Parts: sequence; structure tokens; C-alpha cells
Amino acid sequence: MKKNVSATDLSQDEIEQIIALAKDANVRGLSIEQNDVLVRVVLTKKPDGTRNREGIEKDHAGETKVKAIMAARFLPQHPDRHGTTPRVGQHVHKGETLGYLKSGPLIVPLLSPKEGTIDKELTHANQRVEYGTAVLTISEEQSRNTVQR
Amino acid sequence: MIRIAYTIGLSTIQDLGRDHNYRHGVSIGGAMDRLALEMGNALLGNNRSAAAIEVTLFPIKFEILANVNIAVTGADCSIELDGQQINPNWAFHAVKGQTLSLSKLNSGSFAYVHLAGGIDVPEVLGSRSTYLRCAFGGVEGRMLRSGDVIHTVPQTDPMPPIARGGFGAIAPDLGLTKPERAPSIAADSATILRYLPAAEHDNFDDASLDALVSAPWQITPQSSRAGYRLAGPNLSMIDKLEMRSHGIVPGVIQVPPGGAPIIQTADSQTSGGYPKIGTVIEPDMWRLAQTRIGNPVRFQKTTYEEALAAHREMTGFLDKLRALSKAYRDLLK
Repeated sequence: MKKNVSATDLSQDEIEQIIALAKDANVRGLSIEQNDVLVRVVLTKKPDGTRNREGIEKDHAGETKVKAIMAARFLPQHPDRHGTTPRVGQHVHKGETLGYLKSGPLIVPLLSPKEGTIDKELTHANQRVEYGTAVLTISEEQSRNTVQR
Repeated sequence: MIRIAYTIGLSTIQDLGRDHNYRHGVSIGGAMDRLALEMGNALLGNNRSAAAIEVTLFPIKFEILANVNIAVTGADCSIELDGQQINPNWAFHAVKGQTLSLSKLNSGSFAYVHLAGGIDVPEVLGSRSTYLRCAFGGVEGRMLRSGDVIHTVPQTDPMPPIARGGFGAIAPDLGLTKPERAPSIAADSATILRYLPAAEHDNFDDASLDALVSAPWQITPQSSRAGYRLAGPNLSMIDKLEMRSHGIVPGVIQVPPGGAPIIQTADSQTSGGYPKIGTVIEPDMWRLAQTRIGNPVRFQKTTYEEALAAHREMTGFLDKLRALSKAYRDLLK
């Protein structure tokens, strides 16, 4: 079951209550929207780490799409730390920060799910992304080429 | 549990202070930047007044003695965990044996190191804050020293380790509306502090009231956690005013006979007899705390309604951060 919840003035307690109720009802997707903030929570029946934290999807020819794990604005750089994240053509290691997702006052990193080369940026700076939006792609092939060179 | 591996002093344990004992002549105390303290606690899901380490002098190094979730907020400084850069206003997981270091202050004055659950030192008069002047609270009422071991409050339902990469908050000067600079105020780097007129405001002469809002005021080295002394034009009153000592609170701008204003801060005394020209509104006190000694501030008169609106915005920012941080942590469980 999926249900969108639009709220005007949610307190933390109310949000926690909604999440608890949703868990009880086996709701899998939950969106909480307030002004410029949209939180999308995807609940799993088994809170055992089966969720794909990096939001990756392996595509064809070793190309991996790195997807947003929540609704937010995509920031290529941390607002207080400019020029520190890799861009197209650059080699990245697994776990390296590729950019940030900003939702209200919260900032979360977008991490590289694997070693490779950033192939394409599919989202521009400050663009609104939804849960599952592909933000960029990482290529294994170019990574190998890079290593061979 | 962490150990202070290196400090050059002036770092203390602080929470939101002990305002219930003001009537007994005990200063409120607590964090100089209360917003930063609450931000760290929101990121970690701590009680909003949980105690943290207030860092005033850099560098400072901590040895991690047991795996723990940490947040560092406040002043923009270089934060490194085993040499790896950590973003400002960020929460992350540290494991036993790692070293956390704060150095190279870029901007601001006070940084806060929070541990999940909050720092466990004995409560004195309802607070864990260190009150250096009276030598109580915190760790034996003193500044932290190299070798001090800092424990956390035991948690009944501890948060799992924060996922790789951590997460954080936008800096409040980006996330909150900046005080609008009045057209008459020069465009410079001075911190704008909004104030409400206080009881003796109208006893100051017109030139002084004009100077209060038109001049840049430099924070002098004679400033401390008790008050920030400012240098600028001398403020004077229409007639000499003899006053008995009366209650004062952090934010009050007193004007001693010399004419140089003092803004009361966290460890403000509870009473004083100097005339009060204004009171800096609470939502701007963190801006004052993070303005470094030697840097300028400017005063801007505001209204009660605007002060309340600014306060609502600040509490809304913290509420959103707390709710979204929890939602994000739950998302990754």
C-alpha cells in the first residue's frame, strides 16, 4: 500500500507517530511534505539491512546508475566546502562522496557504490530529485581503461 | 567514551545551562552558541539539552576509547577523523582507536563535540554545564585537560552506528534568514545584531542612540563567557542616572559610566546596576558568540513581533533538523 501524506505543521512526535502507524500497517512508501521539505520514507518489512543504502542500479555494459535515496535537492558540492567532490571523467573509489542531497536543513552524502569513473551527470546543481532519480552514472569499463593507462 | 589527547585549554562541558537557579544568583551559563549545541543534539537524537564539549581554543584532539556516534557543530574549523576530512555540522561514527582532531579555525569561535547520548558528568543545580568562575559543573568545575576521559550517558535504546559518510546540517547562517541590513547601515562584514530597546533606552542622548545603530562596534579582548565588551563611540545619557542593582539576562546591553557597551553572554552575572540601552534578541545571540574577538558587530533596532518571528524560525529550523535526522537514521536502519 502507498499513500501520500501532505502536512502543514508536523511536529517530530507527529512524524514519529505516522512512521510507527505506517510500520504497523505494512505501508512501504510514505511521503511527508511541508513547504520546501519533502521526506519520502520507504519502509521495509525486515529492518535487517536488506535495503540498498546507496540506491544503485546496475545497468548494461558495467554502467551503474547512482540514484537519490530520498527526495531532495542535489548539490554537487557541500555548501560550506567547495571544490572537493569528483566530477565527470574522474576516478572514484567505493564510498567516496559524489555530491550531496539537501532536504530542508538536512544534508546527506551521495556515496559511490563502487570503484569506477564518473561517466555522466544526469542531474544539475540544485535540481530537485525524487527518491530513485538517477543522479549520475559510474562506468567500470572506463575505470579499467583508466587503470590500464 | 573518549579521551582528551591534546588541548591547550579553555574547552569545557556545556549544556543549555541552569536557568532555574537564576533567582538564587546563579548564572544561567551553558553553551555560548546554544543553536549549535541543539543542532548537534538534533543530529544525534540526543535530549535537546544534552551536554557537549565546547571548544574555544584550537587545536584539540580526542582519542576514541569506544565506538561512538559523534557530531561536531558550531565554528567552521578543520575536522579530521584519522586524517580524513569531516564536513562542518556533521554527524558520523567513530571507532575505538581513531583520533578526532579539530584545528584551523576558518570562521566562528566555538565548536561543539557531541557524543551520542550526551556527556555524562554530575548534574549540579540541574545542569552539567561548567561554571568556571565558581568552579562547579562539568569536569570538577574546570577546563578540560589532556588525559581527561569523557563518558556518555548510558542509553536504553542506543542508535546504531551512523552509516558510512555520515550526514549533517546546513550551516545556520545559510539555513536561517539573515537580519536585513537597514539602508542606513554600511555594507561591511560586521555581524548584524538585532536588539529591542531596554528600560533605560530613552535616557540616552540622541547622538548616542544614533551612534548605537550607525557605528561599527569592535569586540575587545576584554570579552569572556560572561560578557562581550565593545569598543566604539562613547555612549552617554541625557542626565546622570543612579540605579540600584537589578536583574539582567544574557543579551542585555549595559552601558557603564565609561560609555563602552557590554553585551551580557552565557555566564552573565544575574544582576547589575548599569543602565541598559537594549537587549540583543535571543535568535541573534549565536551570531554574536560566533563573531571572533577583534571583529565588528552592528546593532539594528527591531520590534517584538520581528524578534518572535526570528525565534519561531530558529525553533522551526531545529525541529525540522531533529525530525529529518531521525527519519534519515530510521531510513538506514
